[in-house]
Amino acid sequence: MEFRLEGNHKIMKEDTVILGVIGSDCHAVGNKILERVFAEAGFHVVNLGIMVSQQEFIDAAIETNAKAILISSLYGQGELDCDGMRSKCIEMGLDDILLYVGGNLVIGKTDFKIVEQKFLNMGYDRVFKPEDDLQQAVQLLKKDITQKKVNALQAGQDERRTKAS
Amino acid sequence: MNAEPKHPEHVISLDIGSTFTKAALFKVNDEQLKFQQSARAATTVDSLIRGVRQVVKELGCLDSRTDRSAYPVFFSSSAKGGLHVVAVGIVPELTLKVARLTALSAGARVTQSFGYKLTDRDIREIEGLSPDIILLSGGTDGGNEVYVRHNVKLLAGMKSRPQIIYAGNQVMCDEVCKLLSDFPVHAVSNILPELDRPCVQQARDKICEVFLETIVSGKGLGDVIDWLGATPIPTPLAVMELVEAVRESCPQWGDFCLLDMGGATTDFYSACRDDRTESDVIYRGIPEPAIKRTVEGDLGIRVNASSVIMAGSEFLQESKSTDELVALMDYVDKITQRTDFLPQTSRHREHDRLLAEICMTQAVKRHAGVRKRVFTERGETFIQTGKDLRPLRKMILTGGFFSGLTEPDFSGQFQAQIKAVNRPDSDQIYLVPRDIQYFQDNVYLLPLLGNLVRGYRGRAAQTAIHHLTLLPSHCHQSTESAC
Repeated sequence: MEFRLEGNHKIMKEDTVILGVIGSDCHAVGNKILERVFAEAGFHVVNLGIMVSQQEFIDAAIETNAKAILISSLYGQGELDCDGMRSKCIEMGLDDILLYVGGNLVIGKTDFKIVEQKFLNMGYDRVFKPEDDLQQAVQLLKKDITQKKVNALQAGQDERRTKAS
Repeated sequence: MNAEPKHPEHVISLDIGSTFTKAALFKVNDEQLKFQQSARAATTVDSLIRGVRQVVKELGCLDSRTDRSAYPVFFSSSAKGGLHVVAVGIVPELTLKVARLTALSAGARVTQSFGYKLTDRDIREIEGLSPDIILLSGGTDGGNEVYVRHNVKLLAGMKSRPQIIYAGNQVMCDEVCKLLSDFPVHAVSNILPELDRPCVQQARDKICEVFLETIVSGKGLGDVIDWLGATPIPTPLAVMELVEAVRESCPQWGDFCLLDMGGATTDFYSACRDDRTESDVIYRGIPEPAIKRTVEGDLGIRVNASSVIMAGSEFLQESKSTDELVALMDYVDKITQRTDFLPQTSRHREHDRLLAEICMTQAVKRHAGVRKRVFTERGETFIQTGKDLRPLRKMILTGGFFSGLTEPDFSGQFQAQIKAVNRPDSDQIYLVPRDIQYFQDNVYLLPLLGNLVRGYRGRAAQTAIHHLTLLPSHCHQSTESAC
């Protein structure tokens, strides 16, 4: 695998991301748009489509060594469907995976700040509302993945130093 | 490999089973292989060649001048337990599932399968099982490396040296081969290069190749190979290849399935595409192969009769009286102690029929896909996993039980049981075949014809179809009377 420069961030060619609409939600259009945007941005997108369970997201991420799971929820049941995802990931050995979530995450007009905080508390790394710019999401994802890689390299170096001393 | 001999008049097919060595003589003509006669002898486990020689002699095909078979022989073997494979993968529903399907499609017995990270205890278990081959998978191409590396390092510490076929993440290929350099290791392409695209052919061919080149000699088949001048395939692979040949060479026969029921296991093969085309159905899981084999290790009408009772307990409790159940349990006790027991009375035959019906129903139910009814904002929708067998119209029945079957309305009874798999109030629908015609292999010839596929592909398939007997059933009779 080669490295290439893109903007300010060095990303690995074809980092894999898992994409899907969670729970019993069958909104398919936005899912297709997301697939295209992230693929054009250089990611290897594994799109699980609509009505995807937490376990299916995690299984796919394990086999493909995915760097991030991108979850959509449009039908207002997001809170119920998304809760517990982080702990399940940790339980299945995906300690370091990035979790993004976006869409109409709760029913009614709740201040987005409250919604965002709620999902951050659940262990998601980033939370998006429907009107957010997708290109911005792409840039954030590249930045977050790079940061994870830097952290991993540093951790490796620290480990070697400790062993040497 | 067996090459097609130049203009032979006759050909012999032979199978060395765990109990019996069976053979049949066929006359070769341009369209068909004409069945002439068959022979059977007890498998001589200490020296397989004795039983083989005896059946060839019984067929009258022993050339007195050379003391060898006068005609070319194609043969299969499941002696000494057949081909044992341990499957290793990561996620049970993904790479591990594909690894199991791959091994089964190569005619193997999957003795155990392990997902996620292996432990020291698993390694001890594998050593205890002493498999012929370990099929090691894990990760899509460019995918998971951590689990693969962990598993390979543990396997490298094993005391025994089984054959290992690596069919996982290709990025790891060199590293895996290096870590396992003390083992006979074979690297092939990934069985799941991408999540939605299984690709099993290379791994399957490699399993067969390793079986031929290295394993057969350990099963005492060396002498037999020398004497017959031919190499064997695992018995279930012969049936698998026949199913493939029928689908390919007899397209007019359409989609079908085949059930092979023995004393210890029941094998089920479906030959139909896993079509995923209905717009109001959401499909889940890995697409399944057009020709799929599943093996039910707990369903057999002799050795495993008591686990058949367990599998069918719900049906039995609902449909049988206490007295009937007690009589059935007594019979099961008798036959599990004497596995070569043949039914003597009509009552015995009745019990055997009941056990067979349960084996068949359970094997079909486990092979078939499932649809779950869910309600969404679009209304009622179905989520489907696995293969839809409902369009199938033909089922071939083979195995010792069916070759002796004289029951006039066996298929009608079975049809009723299979229909009962789906309860009207359930949100879950098993995609089992309905309105099916049953074809009986009444001379138990199909596994032997399977051997001949490698020499006479089209003719073996035509002969298999030609020789099947259509079982009468209510459904079929009503169609006939309507005509």
